[in-house]
Parts: sequence; C-alpha cells; structure tokens
Amino acid sequence: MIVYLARRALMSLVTLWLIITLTFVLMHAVPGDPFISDARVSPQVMSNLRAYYGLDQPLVVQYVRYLARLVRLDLGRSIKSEVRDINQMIAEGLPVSAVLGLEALLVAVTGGVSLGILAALGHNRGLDYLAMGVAIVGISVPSFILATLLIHVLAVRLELLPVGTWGTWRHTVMPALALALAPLAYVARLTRSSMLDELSQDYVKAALARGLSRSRAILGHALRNALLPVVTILGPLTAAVLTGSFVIENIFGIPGIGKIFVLSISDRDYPLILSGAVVYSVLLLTMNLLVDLVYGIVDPRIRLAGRPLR
Amino acid sequence: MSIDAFPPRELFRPRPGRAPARLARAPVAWRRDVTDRLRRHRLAVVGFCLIVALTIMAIVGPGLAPYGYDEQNLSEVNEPPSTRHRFGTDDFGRDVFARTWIGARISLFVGFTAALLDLVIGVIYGGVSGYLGGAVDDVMMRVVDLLYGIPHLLSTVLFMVVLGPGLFTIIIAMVATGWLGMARLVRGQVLQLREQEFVQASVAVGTPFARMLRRHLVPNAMGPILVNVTLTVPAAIFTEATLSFLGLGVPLPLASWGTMTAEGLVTILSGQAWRLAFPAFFISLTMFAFNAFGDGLRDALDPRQKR
Amino acid sequence: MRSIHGRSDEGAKTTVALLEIRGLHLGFKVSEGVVHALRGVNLRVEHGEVLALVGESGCGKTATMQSVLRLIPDREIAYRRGEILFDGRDLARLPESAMRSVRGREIAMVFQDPTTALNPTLSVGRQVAEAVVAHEALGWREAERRVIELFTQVGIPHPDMRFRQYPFQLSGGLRQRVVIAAALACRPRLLIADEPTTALDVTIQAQILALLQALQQASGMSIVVVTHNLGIVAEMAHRVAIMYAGEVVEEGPAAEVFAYPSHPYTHGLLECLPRLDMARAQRLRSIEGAPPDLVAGLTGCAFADRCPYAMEVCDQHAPAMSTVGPGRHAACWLTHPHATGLPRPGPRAHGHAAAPLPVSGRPH
Repeated sequence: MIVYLARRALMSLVTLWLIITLTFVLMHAVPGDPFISDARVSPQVMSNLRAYYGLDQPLVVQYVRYLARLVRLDLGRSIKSEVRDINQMIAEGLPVSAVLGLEALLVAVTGGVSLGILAALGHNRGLDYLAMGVAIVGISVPSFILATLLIHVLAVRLELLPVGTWGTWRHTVMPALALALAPLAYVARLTRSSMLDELSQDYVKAALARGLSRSRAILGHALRNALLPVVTILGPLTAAVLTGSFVIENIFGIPGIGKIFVLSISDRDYPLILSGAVVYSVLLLTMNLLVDLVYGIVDPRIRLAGRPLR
Repeated sequence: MSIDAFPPRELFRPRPGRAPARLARAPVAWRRDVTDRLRRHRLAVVGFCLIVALTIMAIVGPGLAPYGYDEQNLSEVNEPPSTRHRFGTDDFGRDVFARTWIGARISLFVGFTAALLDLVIGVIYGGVSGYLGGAVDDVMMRVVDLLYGIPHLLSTVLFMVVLGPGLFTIIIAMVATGWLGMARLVRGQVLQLREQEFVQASVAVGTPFARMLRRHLVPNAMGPILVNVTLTVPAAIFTEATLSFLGLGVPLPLASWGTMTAEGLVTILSGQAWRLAFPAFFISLTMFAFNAFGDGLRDALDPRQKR
Repeated sequence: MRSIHGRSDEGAKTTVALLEIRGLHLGFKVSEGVVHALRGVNLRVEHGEVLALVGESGCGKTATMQSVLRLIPDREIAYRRGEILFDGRDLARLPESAMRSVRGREIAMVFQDPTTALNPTLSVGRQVAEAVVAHEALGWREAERRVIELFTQVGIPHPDMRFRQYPFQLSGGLRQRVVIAAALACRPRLLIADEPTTALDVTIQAQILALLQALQQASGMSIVVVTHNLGIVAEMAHRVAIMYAGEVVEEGPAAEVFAYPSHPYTHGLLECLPRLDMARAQRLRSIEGAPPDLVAGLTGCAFADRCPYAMEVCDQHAPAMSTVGPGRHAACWLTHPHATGLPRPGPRAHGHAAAPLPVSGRPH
C-alpha cells in the first residue's frame, strides 16, 4: 500500500508542476501587461512598477524565481487588489471556502447515498422513479440557477434566510444547498446502480441462503461493496464543488477564495490568477490523495497486495 | 389402469412427416434491439423530442419574433411579458423572446461544436494510442493521465484569459482539455476490439490503418462513444454558462443563454424575474433533454437487460 | 397435467421423504412477458441419499432448488403454485421469519461459482462464522473456534491462518471448500449443491466430490447435486432425476436409469457421451434441435419435436409421470399400454460400459 500511495503522490506532484507551468506560460502569453489599462500612469512609474514586479526580466528568469518562491510557500503580491500580500488573502478566504465546501460535500454524500440506497431497494417502483427523477433534474440544473431560485423563494419571498453576507450558519444554508445538489444527484445515481449491481451478485444470495436476514445481507454485505465506487468518485466530486464555488461565492457575496479568484480574472491580476490556480490544484490533488488513502484502507486487495480489486 | 380409455388408441402411432418446428424466438439484430429498447425508455424519448424541438426553435425562432434580437427600443425598457413581447424586454428594450432563441443558437452551437471537436480529437488520439499499443500507448496515456488531473473549468478559464473573448475562443478553450475523456474511452474500446478475431484478420490482410479505424474500430465502438458525445453537450453548455458568469462569455452583440442569465442575475431582488427565468429555464431544459437521452442511450446499449 | 406419482407403485414409499416437491409451477417476469420456467415439477429426496438433478442449461434445475429455499425475489416471480414439503412442513407457505431458520440450518446450499459466492471484501472466516452466530447464538470467539474446526473437516490446511484471509487469497478449490464449510456450519439435514464443480479445474473436481461423499456418509445428511455432468452422477448419486423444459421427465436409481433409460431424452443424453471404445470414424451423437421457448405456451410433450420415437399423441397431449419399475418413473407416452410394440429406446450395452465414466475414474 505504501508503494501505491507513493506512486500516486508522485503523479500528483508532476501534475501540480504541470499546472503551474501551464498557467505561467499562459499568463505570459497574453499580449500586453496588467498596467496597460491604467492609462493615467506615467511611463516612468510604469517602468518602476514593472521592475518592482519583476516583469522586466526574461521569461525564464521569472519562471525560476516563481518556482523558487512557491517552494518557500510564498505566493507573491497581488497587482490590483488592496491587500497586496497574496498569502494573507488566501489565509483570510480559505477557511470560509473550506467551511462552505465541506458542508456541501457532506450534504451531497449523505443525501446522495441515502437517496441511492432507497432507489435501489425500491427498484423500478415509485420510489425509484421519484428518486431518479430528482437526480436527473439535479444534474441538469446548473448550481447558479438553483442558487437564484433559492434566493428568490427563500430569501425574497419567504424571507427565511439571509443573503449577501456571511456570518452565522444561516448564511451557509442556501449556498451549500446550491453547491451540493448536482454532486448529490451524481452520488445518488452511482450509489443506486452500484447497489443494484451488488444486490444481483451471488454472494448476496449465498448470504441469504445461509439464513441471514434481508437487512443483514443488504447492509452488511451489499452496501459495503456498493460504496467502494462511491469513494472513488469523491475526487471529481470535490473538483465539482470547488469549481462550483467560483460562481456561488460570487452570487452570495461570500468572502472566500472563489470570489478572490473570479475577481482576479476580470482584473487580469496575473500573480493572483496564478496563485489561485496553484491553490485550487493543491487542494484538489490533496483531496485525491486522501481518497486514494481511504480507498486503500477499505479495499482489502490494495491493503494486502498493492493492486485494486476491480 | 384407470386411464385406459384416454388418450384414444388411434393417436398411438408414429407421427407422419416432420415434427412441427418449435423454434425459439428468432434472434434480434443488435441494432434493432437497441433502438427498440431506446424507444421503450420513456425519459429518453422525451429527451430526444425536446432536443429536436429546441434545435428547430434555435433555427427558426429568431425569425419568428417580430423584433430583431439586437433591436433596442428604449421606450419599452424592462417590460414584463405581454402579447407584443412574449418574453418581455430587457434593460435596453430588446425583445427577450428573440434573444432567447439567438441564445439557443449560440449555446447549442457551442455545445454541439465542442462535443464534435472532442469526438474528433479524442477518436484520433485514442484510436492511434490503442491501436499502436506498447510503449507508444503507455506514453500517450501517461500524458492524458497527467493532463486529466487539471480541473477542466480551471484550464478553460485560463485559456479564456489568454485567448480573449470570442465565440470560437470559447470552443477552443473548452476543447483544449475536453478531449481527454473521449480519448481514454476510445482507447479502451480499441484495446478491447484489437483482441477480436475479425480485427486480427483485417490486420493480417494488410488493411491500412485509416481504413481500419473507419470501417472496423469506429463502428464497433460506436455505442459508448455516442453516449459520451451526447453527455458532452450539456457539459459544454454548462461550462459556457459558467464562463459567462465569470465574465468570459461570448462577446457583445452576441447573446448566449449564459450571458443572458448573468445579465439577468441582478434582477432577482428587483422582481424582473423574466429576464433571468427564461434563459435559466432553457439552459436547464436543454441539459435535462441531453442527459435524459444520453441516459436512455446508455441503458439501451447495456447488455444486461434486467435493469 | 395430471400427476399420479407413486400411488400404484410396488414397494410404495410409506416413509415420509425428507423433501418432496409436488406440482411446482413457477413463472418469471421478463420484458417479453412471462417465462414458464417450472411446469409441474415433482421430486422426492429420501433421508440419507444423494439425488442427482440432471438437465441442460435452462431446464429449470437451479430454479427448482432456489425455490426450495425461497431465494428468488418476489418481484421477479409472476406466479408460483405447488407444495414443497420438508419433513411434512410446506416451505412454500411458511412465513419469512420461519423460512430464515430453515435456511442454512436445516437446508443449506452450495453455489456454483465459489468466487462470486463469497463476499470479496470480507474475510472468509468471518463469512462462515456469520451463519453460526446467527443461527446458534454463539459469541464470535466461540464461532471462530467452530469455523476453524469446520475448515479442518473440509480439508483446508492451516485453518487458523486461512480464517483471516480474503477470498482472492485462496485458490478455487479452497474457496469451494470454504463454501462447503459455510453450508455445513449448522449441520443441515439437506445439502443442495448447485453445480459444485463446474467452475473448478478437473483435478480439483474429483477432490471436492470425494469430500462431499465423505461428509455425506459421515453425517447421514441428504444431498441434491444439480449438474449437467453425467460423470458426477455416476460417481456419487444413488438416484437421479432428469429434467427437461421445466419438468422432471424421468427418475429412479442411477445405475438402472443409465442401463435402461425409459425416456427418449435420457436415452439421447446417454448416447451423446463419447466413449473410449468408439471407432475413430464414428461421428459423435447429439440430439437434434433445441429446447422449446418457455415464454410461449406448450401443447403436448415438450420433447416431442426432438424425439425420434414421437407419436401423434405426443404432439397433442402432455404425458403424465407414470411408474415404469420399482422406484422408477418416467413421463412418456411410450410407457402407456396403448404404445406396446412401438419403437422405443432399448437398453444400452450391459454392465459398466453402459454407465458414464465416473469423474474420479473409479467405477461406481
């Protein structure tokens, strides 16, 4: 198992380096530079600014400097925003986004698994159709549309929940719901089909033949195996929640890193964009590694032999 | 012997002629079987009809409206739906109905084109990789694996920042990493097919690779590929809408459902719901239609019939 | 279809059979409608005997045995009629809770493929112990001890080590031994072995069969071996029942049925077996045609269209099971007094040459 994890960690590092490099290249492939829009700045100040940000150096030098800084965990300084130090910006925004993201993931996984199990047990009957109907709507309605719907109904019409700020748990309900619906739907569909697969397997029948009760056979045997594929989907799920948070944080005015990142794009604030890309990638790759770890623990074949079961 | 009389004695003689054949059900051709199952899948049928309807409306819709999508009418700003403006008007007095169907054109165009390009690139890359196998395949797939780790939206956003706004830049940005999934899929299919005897026979005869791809590999791998293409379209529409929200959507004067939704977002609190509702509804409806149809297609192709 | 089983029989059975299936009809729901899988199965298993249930794929042997334990989910069943008498109790009518105490405890089942019959993510010992804990209210420590004992009984070396291992760490033969151990855990009176060796290598097959035989002789339990392999029947069965298209067409003591088959299908099956003393140029025999489609309704005898001895009555009326000898029954119009003198399958070559070659190579 150690070998397995080590290999995955290595791949992740290479991917991270790839993303950093790609982002760097792309940022500097854009013609012009961030100061062009500030027309009132004199040429002298411009060249000073460029020197300050190191933009007058050859590309390779900038790249090496950037990598060196990254290793020291220094993300640099933002060009456009008021709080210059990017590390500080991230430190302020990350906890907020983390809370939101984790909340959404929790809702998605618990809700999705429950829905999927119910659908599988009520296979091809009313409950199944209802659950899967909800699921397909869930993957079809983009999160921001759902967000506006929630705001319209819960905040404007019914005035049940606050919107536009951040503070208490009430502020997290709508954004978390909006973020969680699509992932929930995917989890539900996967759980359902995975459960149906397992329920039709011989070992479930064999367990019943040994005199186990239906609930024991379903929960103790089928569910165990059915949840394995769900674990593997946690990686892409996190990615979906992360990228969804870009828009959701904007709509709800939540001061997380999503908002910072989106602003940096429209401002063409390159150091911030780069940092945003790096931070997101690190978060995602870490999550993927965690998922690999959990899967390695749960799947006996990896634990013992280093290779996956299916 | 209580059953002496029945059955009558006359019947106890060898049967004249051949026995009546008791054939099992005639085997159904695969393609027929799939289309049958698809037709029975109600949700898939609904999805398909919606797709057709939306496509037709995208083509003729803008023509149906009495106003041009770009026609400003500053005396009729922000009017709710009426008999003249069936979907109401926006900030500049433009007819939302006309804009909705132009939006349909743009969004569907982006969706279809991105899916198509993903298909072409993915098939070529995956086909070559799977067919050549060995070290080449290893390297090619290693590249795919690495690129796959980059979140799709992130890379699309980055490309957009670099390439600047534009209809085709959006498509290019999406396809830049969008083809990876298709490539993996095609390669897997090709690997499976390579082991089949009819393929080995073709190779033995000396069939050139391009022809192999066209006549043998692609048609047989068609099923899962088609499902993937069908499901790529809603993903592309979703990505385009998200880009619009981030300010990276199609540039003016064009309007996509994404840009319209982004523009309409500010109105939630001011009560002009129609500016947001219509594009939002149609995005959801379109995604639903493609997802439903794609689902049905996947189920119809699934050899296990129980489900 | 009328059934006159055993009434005018010499040496009629006055003892109550361990398992008696009477008139079992079962229909499955499928997308095309209903498959009439079991069309009146009659079967009898005595105490302490090994009964082989033989037939080709799709004839209903597995469906019959799974019906005994009521393992087929209700939602797949279109209809079910008939009685399944175990020690006098009708299992078909038992409430589910009572059925649970029958499963694994009084009647146990061994499935065909030991790889799929075991949960891949649980240790093998745990899976066997589960049944013991459930039925006999033992603690896990106690249960583990019992399981290790069982493993020894079925011939698994290093049982304490194997207890904690996962199915993928065991070979096919070992896995099947585990499955057998699980079946025996609560000392059942009837063991149903559904194609117990089909998924195994030939060399392992003989070992497993020998194991089953030894266990049977030691404990006096009855075994129903479901198989399509006549060699297995020759190896260990006291009696054999042949199934075709959802019903039993012939049954009786194994050696006799092999020597003097009454039903043309049985005769055909036996003729299909290649023999070592055949001339090289001799073509292999097979039964022409294919089993009938069970979705459509059937009139007459199910085998009629493939039967070389078919008469007109066979196309119009389905034959009932009748006695053809002591403890032997067959469902064929050829046994009817009206059919005397008509061509019928004759006795096969005498003695051992008639019987299929037993799996282990030893004559029965």
